[in-house]
Order: sequence, then C-alpha cells, then structure tokens
Amino acid sequence: MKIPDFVATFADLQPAARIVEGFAIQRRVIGALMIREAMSRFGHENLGFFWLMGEPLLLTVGVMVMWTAVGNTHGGAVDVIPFALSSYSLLTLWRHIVGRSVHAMRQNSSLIFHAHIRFLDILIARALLETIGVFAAFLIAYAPLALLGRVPVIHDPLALCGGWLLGAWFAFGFGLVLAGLTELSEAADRFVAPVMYITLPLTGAFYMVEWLPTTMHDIVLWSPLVHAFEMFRSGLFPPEYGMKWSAPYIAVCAFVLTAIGMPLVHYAQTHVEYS
Amino acid sequence: MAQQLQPPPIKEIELKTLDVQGQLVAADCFVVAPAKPSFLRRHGLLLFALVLPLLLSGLYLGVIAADRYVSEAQFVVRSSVGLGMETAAALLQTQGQTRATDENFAVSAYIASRDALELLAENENLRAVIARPEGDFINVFPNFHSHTNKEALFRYYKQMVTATIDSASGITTVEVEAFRPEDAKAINEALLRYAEAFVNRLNARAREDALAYSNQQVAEATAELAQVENLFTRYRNEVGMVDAAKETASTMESISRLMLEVTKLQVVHEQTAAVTPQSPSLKAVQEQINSLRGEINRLRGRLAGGDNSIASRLGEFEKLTLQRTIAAKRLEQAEISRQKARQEAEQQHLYLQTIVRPNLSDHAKYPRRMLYFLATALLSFFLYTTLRSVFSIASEHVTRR
Repeated sequence: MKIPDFVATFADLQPAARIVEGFAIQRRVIGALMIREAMSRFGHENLGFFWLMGEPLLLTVGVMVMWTAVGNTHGGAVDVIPFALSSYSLLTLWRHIVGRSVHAMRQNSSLIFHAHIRFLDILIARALLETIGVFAAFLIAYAPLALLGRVPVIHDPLALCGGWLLGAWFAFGFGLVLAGLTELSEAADRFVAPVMYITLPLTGAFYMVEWLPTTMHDIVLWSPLVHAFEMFRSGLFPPEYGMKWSAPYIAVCAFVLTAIGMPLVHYAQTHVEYS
Repeated sequence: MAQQLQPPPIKEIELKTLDVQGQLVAADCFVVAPAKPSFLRRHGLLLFALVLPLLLSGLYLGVIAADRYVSEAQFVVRSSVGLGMETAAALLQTQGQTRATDENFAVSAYIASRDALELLAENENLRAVIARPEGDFINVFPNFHSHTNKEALFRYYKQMVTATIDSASGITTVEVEAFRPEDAKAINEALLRYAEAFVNRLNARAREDALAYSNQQVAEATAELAQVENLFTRYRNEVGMVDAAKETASTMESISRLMLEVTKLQVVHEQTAAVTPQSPSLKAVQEQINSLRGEINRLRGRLAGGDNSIASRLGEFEKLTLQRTIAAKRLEQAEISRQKARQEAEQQHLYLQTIVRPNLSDHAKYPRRMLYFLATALLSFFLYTTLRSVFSIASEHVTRR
C-alpha cells in the first residue's frame, strides 16, 4: 500500500533526502526571485534590466569625472581613474547589499504566501543580483578605459574575482544580521544609516593601506573590508603598489557574520510584521 | 423528595491534549509511525560540525602537539658618521651615531633569505634541528605531505624564523622557533653572527668603492698635470725661451741701464761741446751715444712689435702657466679628498649592535593551546548553528506544499 507523502511530515526531523530536495527547490526559487527582483525594480521600460549595471556605472563614472576634474590625486602614485573605479565599484556593492537587506523581510512578506519561498531566499537572491550586476558594471566601465589605456590591464584575475566575492560574502553576512535585527527591533533601523556613514572610512574605499603611516597599518587592517578592497585592487593593479591583504581573514569574518545572521534570520522569520 | 430531583453533581473530567500532531487523514488510509531514525541521522550534524572538530583539536593540542620554544634577540644597525665632515648637515647632527634605516631592512631581509638558510643548513645542522624526534607529525620537516627539496625547506624556514623591524625605534627583533630551547638559541646566535658578517661585507664594499673613486681622481689629476708640463717644455724648446716674463723683466732692465748710460754720455757731450768745441773726443762720444741708442731700439724691438717679439709669446706662456696652475690645484685637491675618504672609510662604518642576546627559553610559547582550542570551539559552534539554520530553512521548502 502506498504511503501518502505527508506521512513523512509527521516526524519532527530533517532526513537528508528532504534537505537535498529542499536545496533543489531553494535553488530554483532563488533563480526565479532574482529575475522577479530585476524585473520589478527595472521593468521593461527603456533600458530595462540594463539599469542593474547602469546605476552603479553612472555613479562610478560620475565620481571618476569629478575627481579627475578636481585634480584629486589622493596623494598616491596610483592614477585617479583606476583608483576611483576600484573604490566605487566595491563600495557600491557593499552599500547596495547592506542597504537592500534592511527590512528586506518586511517588504517582501507578501511573497511568503507562496509556500516554497522563504525569507532567506529573498536575501540570497538580492545579494546575488547585486554581486553580478555591480561586477558587470565594473567590467563595462573597465573595458573602454583599459582600451584607452587609462586603467592598467587586470594583473591577477583570481585576486580580483576573489576580492569581489569575499567582499560580497562579507556584505551578505552583515546584511543577514541587519535583516534579522531590523525585524526584531524597530530601534535597530534607526542606527543603520548613521553607522553605515560613520564606518565609511573603515571600508578602505578612499585610501590604500600603503599610503597611511606604518603605525596606522595594523589599525586599519583590523577591518575585513579594507582587506577586501586591497585584494580587489591587487587584482587590478600591478604588485608594486604594495597592497596588503589576507583572504582567510575576510573569509573568517564573513563566516562569523553569516553564522550570527543565519540563525537570526531563521528566528526572525516568525516575527515579521506582515503589512 | 425534592432532594431526589436534584441533578447528580457534575463529575469533573480531565482535559488532555492529544499526543499526536493534528493531521487530517483520509478514512481509508492509516498512519504509519515513521521508523525512529538512527542516532547518526538525528545527531549527525552536531557530531560532525561541533563534537568532532572539538575532539580532534583537543586530541591534537592536548596529546600530539609538541612544545615549540622561541628564542628572541634584538639588534639595531648603526652607522657612525665620520668626524671629517664639516658640512652643515654634520653640524646639525648632534650625535656621532645615526640609525642606518636602509641597512636595517637589508639585514632583516638577509636573515629571512635563502643565503642565511643555506649557511644554517651547512654549519648548524638545520635539517636535524627541524626533524627532532620530539616534534609532532605536523610541525616537523619533512612532514607527511611536504617535499624535502630546498624550496619546501625555505617555506618552512620562513615560518620558523621571523625578523621584524619596529619602524619607530628601528630595532629589529629576530624570533626563532624550535622544538628544543637550546636549538632555538643556537640558531638565533648563528643568525646574529651571519648578520654581523653581512654588515662587515657591506662595510668592506663601501670602503673599497670610496677609495677606488678617490684613487681614480688622483690618477686623473696627475696625468693632466704631466700633460700640461709636457706642452710647456715643448713650447719652450720651440721658441727658445725659458720664461717670457723674466725675459721681459731682464730686457727692460737692460734698456733702462742703457738709457742711463746714454743720458750720462749726453751730459759729457754737451759739456765738452761747450768748453772745447773742437775737442776730438766729441765725435767718439757721439758715436758711442748713437750705438747705444741703436742697441736700445733693438731691445725695444725685441720686447714688442714684430713676430718674434717677447710680447707676442707672453700670451701663450701665460695660458700655459694658468693651465699648469689649475692642474696642480686639482691634483692637490684630489690628494686631500683621498686623504679624507681614507679617513672617513676608517671612521664611518656600519655596525650591528646587539641589544638583547638570544635567550634560552624555559617556557614553550607555542602552541597556544587554550587560544587555539577556544578558536576552534567558537568557529565550530558557528559552523553548527549556520548549517542547522541552512538545513532547516532548506527543508522548510519541502514541508509546505
């Protein structure tokens, strides 16, 4: 006699088979959510989906033009244009991922009507979309500048992509914590904007460690984001600029944030205010 | 009777929740209690993500890991500035000694180099030191996965020996790690010796360079002076004159002497002519005056005017004399600066000043058992919570259908 499917649900356990099946569903859900997210944000009007890359591209190019016009050399041997390109690409990624995580669960609570969609899927989809989109924007800005010779040819693609992905992971972990906290506490929401602004110098977007006095090196290198920026730059610039970074350090920091954020999101699922 | 009509007292019943979870089940189907999953199924995650790492790290740190001792030494590379420097910079430097920053970096780079490693392997039996039997299987060299070639040894060496420069004080700290404290001390002492030898080689090289330059300067100046003298001699032979200036002076003297003579004779002539106009000596005196005047004119002609006059050669003589003076000055200067360079090379050299001699440690600094264990515990706990959340969220996708 055939035993109905739901019988399995009686057990308050998660057999491996169900987890595997769950992952398969989750993968499809995330894929679908990414497309939905891109469509709902940009639609089919004018450039449509291209705006995913266009937005960060506009910002990066704008800043590059502005810095060049002002003649801001940042005191280093690095040219303004490649420096602005590397800084603003990764900074945009960081701000977008973190920014879109705040209240992400509340904003999308209507999606939970679909049984297959969980809040984590929404967060992952958003982070992935930003990671891909902003990196595409970076490449679009990079290609013509490299052809014109204004930006050095990518020195180490592995460090470039590794720095980008590790930076994205760190931002995702931070976003998870914020997504959980902002659902659990109204007050947390008020702190996000000031904290993000004040910690801007700790991101390493506006300087390279090498430019700072030696005594400052040990201090700024506590920040995993500085490591991510330096790693990303060491992929773009030749090694004589003296980038200092440690990939395991970013990974451990990102992992710890994910480890705090993941249970927090799991717990906060039941505390979302449905609007 | 009325009492009999009263309803019987309500019996209190116990309200109980059902043990089973509410599920609506079709009438023709029955619920099979799922087989109790195995222990591994229920606690596998906890075991693999939390208990196993803790057990392994506890086993390694508590039982297997060998003590590693650290010997520490500190030194600074100084350069004494020569006393012969009379420049403003030397006056501004109140101390006779300064810190040699570049050489500090050079020495610490040398300590962490393949050259130093090679010397240690030859003289200090390094390969035996790092393969001591008390070492544990992960930290010895060669261990179970490493190669035994020089490159792998160098990688191991860079973890074993560290030289760090404190940028504020310029003090270099050398730390050597080994399984036995006396090994660490011996290697550290050997490294300090090699560093000192390296500094001395730098000194010898700098000294050689400085002296070679000034020697060359002296040789060039000498050659130039000899060449000018040569030219001078050739010109003297050519014109048959040793010194134009002296020649001029002596000619002028002769002229003035002759003029005096002429004046005297003229006076005699006029007296004689006035007293005895018919004197026969008048003619002789006049003759004498004429010949003297002729001589004066000849000498004047030699001094100036004409191609063979002294004045026309005086220019060439002056030029050559000037050249000779310059060449002599230059030789003198070169000789002085050679003396100075020699003096400076004697006085100004680098030396390695040991601040802290390598110590014999009686406390194993590594492994930091408590710290490593706590780090493992924290990270594996995080791993466990993360995986549990990820798995339960993943399985939630299936439950709600």
